[in-house]
This record gives sequence, structure tokens and C-alpha cells, in this order.
Amino acid sequence: MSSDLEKKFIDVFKENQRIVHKICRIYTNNTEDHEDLFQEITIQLWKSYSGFRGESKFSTWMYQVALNTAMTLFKKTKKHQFQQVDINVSSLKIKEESYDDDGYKLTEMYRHIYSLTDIEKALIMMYLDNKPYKEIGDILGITEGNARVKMNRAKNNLKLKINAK
Amino acid sequence: MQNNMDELELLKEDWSKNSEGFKEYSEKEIYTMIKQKSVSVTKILCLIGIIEIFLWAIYGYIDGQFPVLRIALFTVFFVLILCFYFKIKIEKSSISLMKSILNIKRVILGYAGISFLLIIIDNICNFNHYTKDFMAGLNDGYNQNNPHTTNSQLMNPQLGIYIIFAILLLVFIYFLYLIYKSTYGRILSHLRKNYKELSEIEEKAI
Repeated sequence: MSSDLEKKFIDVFKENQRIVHKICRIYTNNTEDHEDLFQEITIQLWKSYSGFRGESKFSTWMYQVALNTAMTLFKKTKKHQFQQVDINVSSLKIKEESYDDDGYKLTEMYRHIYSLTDIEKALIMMYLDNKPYKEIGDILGITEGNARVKMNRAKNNLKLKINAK
Repeated sequence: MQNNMDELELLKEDWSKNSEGFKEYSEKEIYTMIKQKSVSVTKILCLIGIIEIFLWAIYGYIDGQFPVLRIALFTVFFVLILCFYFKIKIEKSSISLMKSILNIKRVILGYAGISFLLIIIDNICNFNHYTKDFMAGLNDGYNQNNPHTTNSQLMNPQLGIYIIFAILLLVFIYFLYLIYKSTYGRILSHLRKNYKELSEIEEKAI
């Protein structure tokens, strides 16, 4: 809890804060929740930092702690996060016309990702980050082969959701 | 399938593009964030203190006398808890931190235990007296008298009244238990977690 440790943590966290942002992006769907989750992950990382022995890369360790925090919070809140989708009849035509638009496609895909399970979200995020299977396995505490199998399932599940539109 | 692959590639492209646009937190902002949790525990402690005083003040108002002993007991323990708590914040090593956490746990558990036990003992010892008070209160309410018009000592409660009062008392005690559990219990579980984390770190260090 010394100030040296604090300084070291802040320096290394600042360099890697984008990882936390990415996790928040995938696990939340509005700015307020993003900021709340970011803060919660930062606190958890700081609390766990004295236990970091440098056996893995800092970024891998950061992914592990941040994902565990996000998944735990996701489990706690997902029951209350059910979203009511209001259908605005007047906007249906506009949506139909703009369906091929990349922006609309992306919004829909992020919505589908948000509806995946917590572990699938993590996998898709690491896929988008081009993480090698070895590192994905290290982060999730599974073997490389298992990471590959789980990744394929997550991608297939996402594709099914996209096709079900 | 090809279309799906295109969509995933599009997503990947957007993902890496968006990653550049995240807010960059400064060192000062990160420092404030990691200190935030300590502040929130202090807030919970203060909130519990206010709720506790408020509840006892209501109880004193209903009972017609100010619960000086209760408030004094609470104040002593509350000051002790805060002292230990602020000591925690300035501790340097994990071992001394763990000792402080154990101390604060003992004080909170001690206070919550003594306080709750006092409520139960008080109600058992004065059960007859409180039942008569309850009956006098019911009588005043039923006849729309001013409070404390009926002399409770003249009341002669029957078995049914004792049973009804005992049930109401149990509900009240259960309600108090729930309050204690969600306030002091919450703090205790937070401390237990902190202690566990620290001991794990210590074990790893050894």
C-alpha cells in the first residue's frame, strides 16, 4: 500500500488502460455503465496488484482480472438489464431503407454481442483484438485447444444471431 | 456464410478504429479512482451511524424517554470503529493491515452482538411490563384517547394479548436483525473479503 507501489501501478495501468476500455465496451451498452465498470475494474486491479508476480505479461494479467470483474458484475446485474425494445412504427421504414448501411449493421452486431453469454463476449472481444489462442487460453485459464473450440462456438453463436435478424 | 465473414471483418475493423477513441484517464484521475472504494466504506459506516441514531431516537420518542445508555454505547463503539478504520488507511505492511482488519472486525461484531443481545434481554425481562404498555396503548387508540391516558399498571392482559404481543415483538426483532445484517453484516463481509485477499497475498509471498 506504499505510494511507490501506487505510482508503479498507476504508470503501468495508464499505459494499458485501453484494455479496460475494450472490456467495458463489450460488457456495457451505455456511457454511464461503461464508466462505472471502468472504475470497478480499476479498483479490483489495484486491489490485486500486490499479488501480481510478473509470471505472465502485465496485459495478460490485466485481461484476467478485468474480465473476471466484468463477468462477476455481469452475472449480478444481467437479471436487471433486460432491455425493453420500443418499436416505433414510423421509424420502421427508415430502418428498412438503411439496412445495408454499415453503421446500422455494426449497431446490430454490437447488440448481438451484448446478448451473448459473459464468456462468449470475452471470446469475441479477444477475437476482435486478434489475440493468439495461446494467450486466450492463459487469460481464461483453459488450454489452447479448448480456447480454439470455445472461440469457434462463440463465433458460430454470433453468426446464428446475426442470421436470425 | 461469406456474408457473415464480411460482417465479422467489418466488426473487427470498427473495433480497432473505435479503440483509438477511448477516453484517456490521467494519472490523477486513476489515483482518485483507486481511492474511491475507501471513501465509499467510510460513507457506509457514517450512513449506518445515522440510521442507528435515528432508529434509537424514534424508539426513545415512542417509549417516552431518551435512550441515553444506548446512544452512549453506540458512540463509544462508533468512535472505536472509526479509529481502527482510519488506522487501516495508514498501515504500511500487509501483516499490520490484517491485524487492524481483525481489530475492526472484533469491534463491529462486538457492538452488533451486544446491541442485539441487549434488545432481546430487555424485551424478555420487561415482557410483562411491555405487554401491559401495549394493551394500554391499544385501549387508548381504540377509545381515541390522548397517548398515555390509560394507566398500564392497571391492565390485566389475557393469554391472547401476550401471544399477539410476542408475535409482534418477534417481527420487530427480526426486522432489527435484517437491518443489522444488511448494515454491519455487509461491512463484516467486506472486511472478511479484504482479510482473505491479504492473507492469500501473504501466503504467495512466503
